[in-house]
Amino acid sequence: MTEATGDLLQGLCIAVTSSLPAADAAVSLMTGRDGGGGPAAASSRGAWRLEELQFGLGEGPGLEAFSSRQPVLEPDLGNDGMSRWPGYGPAAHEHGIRAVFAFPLQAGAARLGALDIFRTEPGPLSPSALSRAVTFAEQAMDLLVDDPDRDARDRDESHSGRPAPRGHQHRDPARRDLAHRGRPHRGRAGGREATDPDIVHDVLSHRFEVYQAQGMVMVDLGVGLTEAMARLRGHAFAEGRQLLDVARDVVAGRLVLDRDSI
Amino acid sequence: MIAVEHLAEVFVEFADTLVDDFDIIEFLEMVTSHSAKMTHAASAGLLLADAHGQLKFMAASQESVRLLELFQLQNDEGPCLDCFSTGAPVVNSDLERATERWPLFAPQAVRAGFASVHAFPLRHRKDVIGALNLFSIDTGQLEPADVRIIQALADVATIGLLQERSIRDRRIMTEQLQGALNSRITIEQAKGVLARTHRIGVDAAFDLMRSYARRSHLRLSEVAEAVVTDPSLHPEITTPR
Repeated sequence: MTEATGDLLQGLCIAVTSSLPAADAAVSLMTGRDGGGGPAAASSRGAWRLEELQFGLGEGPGLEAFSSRQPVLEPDLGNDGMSRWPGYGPAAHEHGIRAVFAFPLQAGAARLGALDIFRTEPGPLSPSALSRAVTFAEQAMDLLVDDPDRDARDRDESHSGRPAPRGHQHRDPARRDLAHRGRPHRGRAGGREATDPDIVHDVLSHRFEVYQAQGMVMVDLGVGLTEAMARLRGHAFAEGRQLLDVARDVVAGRLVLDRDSI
Repeated sequence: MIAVEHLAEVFVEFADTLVDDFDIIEFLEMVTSHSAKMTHAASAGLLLADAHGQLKFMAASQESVRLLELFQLQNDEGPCLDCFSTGAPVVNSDLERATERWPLFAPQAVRAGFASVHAFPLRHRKDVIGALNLFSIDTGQLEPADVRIIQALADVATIGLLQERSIRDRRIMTEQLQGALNSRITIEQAKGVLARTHRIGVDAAFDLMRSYARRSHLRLSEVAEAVVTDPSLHPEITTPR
């Protein structure tokens, strides 16, 4: 993962805490192999350590969300959470956490990690907060897909038996300015700021043709899911077109991305 | 008039499915197939709302690009959106006369060869989580008794979807629905892979995948996931002929 992506993910985590009734947030990358992976960004040092804890213990809401392929919403860590995660629960509770909401970073079969959101008071997220949380998870996924270092993740996704990505850099928040502001990420159609708390959900990027095109590009280019989506989005951005329009061209056979096209 | 025998058959199949470990997309497809057959509708489809309140296509009695487009369109207007917002069924809508009500959807549905449309809300307690959509090629009416039966079918679909009648809070519903929505995305990805691999259309790709899953006694979602992430598991359908 590049430093730029790490910065943006950290900005996203901070944005989560201002947009939602949440004390902290963190993003972790996961490889689906024996709980492999690690923290990628966090809104605070404490949140970073909580993420590390999950991997150390091999249990936790983020890992569970990733493996079950659905959100894990635990509004009462102090009660249900303790038995649910016998190791993680008490430790997180001791850190002052009373509720945790984990969202897998996924799109279909593509899974990259999880977004964990922490509260210091028990209670569920409201429907609108939930909707925003899901949007943040989708944004985090987009950032990872567009990350120039995605090749390593791509190989990992396709079960090729190659080792987990090297060069996975840790971003200890203690070594940087936590008041970081986000900036537009190049290579994304629309160039939207990832840290914008009033995120408008980009409905068009979630139409079925986009996912069909993703599968087609995988075959056309012989790459994994993440790379295929990145190439589609990159092409759309470079051409100044909507992702959905590019996808429709791919599905109709009017456009075949080749190895040389952007 | 819906035959009682058919109804009995449907509920037995539902019961079997709910007891065994099942695939959510296949289950929803079964709901749509039965509701189409029972009402002599040409096609039926099921949409679920995602976390943003957008109606997403999940399953249909037949997969066709044209149908998928008609379902996708209903995010902006149409009978499904209406019944999703109001929680009440939309029944016996003559599409030719519905242009004012649904200026984009009605003409497109007519062009697709349909004459009437019905939509039933998928309800869970006070929430509406989606809609069951039926399309007919004639303007035959559903009788009140039929309407009640199809609504009951939709209600059973909701129970099967949420896997637990006594779900008290919204969060479990959200978790399962998000999982189900994600399963559908995997299927679309797999359709793309197979369509390109065999140089066939996405609809044919779906049929290929589904018939393979059935004769191999595998879950559709599992096959779809493997097609995309580990094709070597199913060389029979992932190797170009």
